[in-house]
Amino acid sequence: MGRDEALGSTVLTDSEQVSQATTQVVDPRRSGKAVTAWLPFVLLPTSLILWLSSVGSIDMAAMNDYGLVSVLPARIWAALILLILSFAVCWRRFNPAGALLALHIVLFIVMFYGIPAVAGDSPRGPIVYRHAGITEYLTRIGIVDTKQDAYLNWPGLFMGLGWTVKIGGMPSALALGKWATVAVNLMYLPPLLMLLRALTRNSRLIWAAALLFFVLNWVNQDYLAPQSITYVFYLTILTLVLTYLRPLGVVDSAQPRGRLGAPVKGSVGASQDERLASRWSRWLPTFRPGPLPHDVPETAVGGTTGVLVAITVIVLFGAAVTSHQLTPYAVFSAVTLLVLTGHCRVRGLPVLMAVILVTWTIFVAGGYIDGHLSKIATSTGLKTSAASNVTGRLTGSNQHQLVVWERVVFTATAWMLALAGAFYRFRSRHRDYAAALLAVAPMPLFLLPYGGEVLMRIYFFMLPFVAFFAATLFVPDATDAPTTESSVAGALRRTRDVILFGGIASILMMGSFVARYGNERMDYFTPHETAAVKELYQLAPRGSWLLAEVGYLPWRYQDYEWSRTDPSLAGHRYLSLAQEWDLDPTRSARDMAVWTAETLRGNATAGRPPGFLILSRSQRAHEEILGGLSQTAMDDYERILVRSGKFQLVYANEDAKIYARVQESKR
Amino acid sequence: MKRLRWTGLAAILSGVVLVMALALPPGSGWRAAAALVFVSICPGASLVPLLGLRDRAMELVLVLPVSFALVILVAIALFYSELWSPERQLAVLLAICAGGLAARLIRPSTSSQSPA
Repeated sequence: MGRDEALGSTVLTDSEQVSQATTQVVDPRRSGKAVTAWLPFVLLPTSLILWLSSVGSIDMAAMNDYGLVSVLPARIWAALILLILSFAVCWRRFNPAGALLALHIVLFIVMFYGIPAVAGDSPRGPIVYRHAGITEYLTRIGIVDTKQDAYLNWPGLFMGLGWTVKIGGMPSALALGKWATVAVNLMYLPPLLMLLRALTRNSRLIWAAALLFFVLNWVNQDYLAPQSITYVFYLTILTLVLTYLRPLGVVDSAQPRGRLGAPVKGSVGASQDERLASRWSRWLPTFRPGPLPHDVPETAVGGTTGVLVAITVIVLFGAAVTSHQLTPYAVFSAVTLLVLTGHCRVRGLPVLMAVILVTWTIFVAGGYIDGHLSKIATSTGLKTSAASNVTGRLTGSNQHQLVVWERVVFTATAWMLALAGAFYRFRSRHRDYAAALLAVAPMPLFLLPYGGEVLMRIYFFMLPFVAFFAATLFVPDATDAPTTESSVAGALRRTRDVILFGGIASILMMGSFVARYGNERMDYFTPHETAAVKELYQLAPRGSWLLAEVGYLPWRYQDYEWSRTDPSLAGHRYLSLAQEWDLDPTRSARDMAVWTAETLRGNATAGRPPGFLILSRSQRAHEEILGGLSQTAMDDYERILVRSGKFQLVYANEDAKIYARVQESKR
Repeated sequence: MKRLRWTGLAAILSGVVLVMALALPPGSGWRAAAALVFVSICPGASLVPLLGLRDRAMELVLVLPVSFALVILVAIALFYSELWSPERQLAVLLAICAGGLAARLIRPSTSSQSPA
């Protein structure tokens, strides 16, 4: 059985050679299949034209708390639905063309994830700007001061990114921020296809799952950030393990199997290197090898190649450990589960991963862990995670609450589809044990102290396997049978499948769109806001304290560092009024105005420049959407500050104002 | 040169283009593009064929993650040893790529065809 047929290329399995022979006998024109052959060439350009003709006309400033959906032209919806239908037509053809299906998915990624990049003016969300600031700081200083920020305990990606920015002569990492979401989703596609190929060789199932992965990915973890790049490592590691590091010689569960290093009939033999590795791991327990799915050929390799693949896995894991707090734990959990259930023969892999993780945590991130031990201890556990991930998020304006509930229902729907698919697959005696294990492997992450986003991360790590099982509902085994393809019944069945898959995928896409872009009113930054922050950096000398109502604005992309004692490390001190207000919600607007004036005056009298206050549209949107400071409280606060005479308006445009703290003469 | 195949040629090309692009002034789009292509291709394309996977599709898929991982790990090593500079990191990465390509020329030939 070949390896590439699963993705629609020319190498064929024995059964598909028979299938192709059948298609060669039946003339596509006479069998009515010509329609399905040319239909994508009409639907695809139409979809593209509709999208291109309307995406530039989106009025981002007119959004309400439902997000981007509130201003989305009907033509964009039509474009996305036509694209999915075109995909479904290609996908349901008797012999789907891999290149054409890949083109559909690439276009879907651009048209679905690229809307804010085309319609907006700058990278969305404040975190991208912060990441650009960390990157700039690291490459300017050239050393790592872990006391500055928790991020600097996992600086791998920022360093790699910083080098790319420097060597490419780019002004800032922000240059990559706007299209990063599209770029990283395009990066996910190849390893995702390979991962799915390691789970099944049914090409229709692989492509359906690939499309569903991108349709269901609403969680917004794919911007210029460590988790988005380390997700590529996650997919690649699982692909390598499931393709090459399965037990050697496993063709059927009834066959005898050997341990790591034992030369097994029908497999690539073990080398001296691998026998050595086997001796080292002799003290580890041996697990009964897990069975392969029935349609997946044996691709496990031993010998030097096996050892080199294991080393590659460790290299990728090492890069993930240095770059992100959570992803290595997801990889570790998945690989450990695969080893324990006999789906990976390299029993030492989880041990080595644990050693790398512990070493990094103790010797590099130890300072952060020590300094935040009490916070970590209080934010760990099922109850705390449930509160911050579920109940804590069901707040905000009425429109936003509807979006949050839609996210909950959408996520539950995705999981239910996957559950139904898994039920069907196991009922029909498929052996998708590895996929099922990997779908539940991220669950323990819920216990980690990762705040209100861990559930979204878990969803993201589960997504390839959720998409796989959800896709199995649309690819029953009967669709592979070639005998009825030319009959009227076959044509009707194909039409039904196209409508069913295209229709459900379109509905899911619409749900995903609402969920993904539900915060867009605050994630989107206008040119006036970015201009105001640029002006702020012009006005504020290094060492200034910069205060915002809430830190939801495009700042911190420069002068990131702060030190109270070392003037060379005094970029800016960034403060948020909402954070202070959270500490004592009973404070009045007057109290907060007094606090603002005193805080910034204190800095000025300490021999530093006076502070600045920046108020902007996105901050107001954030507080209105998520239900923080009320509109009246914010207006009162600003009015009191102005009347106090201690603040002077130094810059204003349509969407932002900057006030400078007036230097008071010493008495 | 036959042993280097397309991956070797892509690695050499991306490395040469980046070195040449360094002559362009900062802010040049061509220089940025050359850096991005190098980061995405060169280290991975130099080393991945050494695995001997005999599967071109998988080799192609591995090029980008391996490249990213090596760029990150080299940066980490240089930063924590307080030796980092953009030029030094470029030199180390070019040395790794050259080493990988040399190893491919020296070691016994392995076919990288997809088995039928």
